[in-house]
Amino acid sequence: MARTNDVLCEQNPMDLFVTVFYCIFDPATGVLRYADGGHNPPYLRRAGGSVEALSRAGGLVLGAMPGIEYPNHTVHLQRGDRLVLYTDGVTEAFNPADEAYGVERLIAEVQEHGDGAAAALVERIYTSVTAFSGTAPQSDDITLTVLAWHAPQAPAAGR
Amino acid sequence: MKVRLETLGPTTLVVPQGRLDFASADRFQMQLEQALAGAGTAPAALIIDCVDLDYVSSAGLRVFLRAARSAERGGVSFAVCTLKPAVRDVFDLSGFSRIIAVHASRAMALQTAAGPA
Repeated sequence: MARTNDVLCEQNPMDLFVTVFYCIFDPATGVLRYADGGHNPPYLRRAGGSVEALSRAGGLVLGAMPGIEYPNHTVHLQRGDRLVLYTDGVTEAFNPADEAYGVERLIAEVQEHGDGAAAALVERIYTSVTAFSGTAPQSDDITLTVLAWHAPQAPAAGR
Repeated sequence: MKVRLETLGPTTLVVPQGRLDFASADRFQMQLEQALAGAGTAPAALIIDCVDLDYVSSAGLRVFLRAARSAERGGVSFAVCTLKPAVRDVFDLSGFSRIIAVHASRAMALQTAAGPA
């Protein structure tokens, strides 16, 4: 990411920038390694239903300044966990009264509806955001990615 | 979005009011460029006082980046101050508060601007 940032900074006369959340998940160990470039912090929903934002150290967006370091962070996932990644078009979707969708509504959706398939949660959040914004014009892209690490199929598990 | 300009000696203060988003970014960009150019001579410092700024989108953030770059090229000291919590969040999340001087109050920003660069 540091290299990508430097390359972007070399030719950026329009002063554009991008946010990046980069992660590598190893299902053998459950370890998710990630680095942040100014992106909204993804939410980790634990199998029990608790939701936490992935901790980050205020990584800078890419393209703004060369020579920036992007430290690695690590979090351990458990089977049944969900990782929810989103763009600011989700939390900054406005309704006709100029209120933002915000993180609280997003967290509530993730908490209540995160048990099922990844695609179902994406659909659920998207529906919630568009219902909230109603007739207000969309101000930014609405992008969602959910990683679901399913619990193993256990016939008698009862869940 | 409304923008007010104030001049305090060699320092120009820009006070945006309302929402800085895609719709208002271009105009604010132009106003900042004009403020940086000054009337004949450039100011020694440009401070954006965000006391009345309610919201900054990513398109709005870019205006701050452009202004900071432009100020740097012109040798103009650049800072922002009095960010509302929502705007402060955007500066922190994007990492901008690491590369742009952010002051808690206008007084602190002015004090820093007046001091040795």
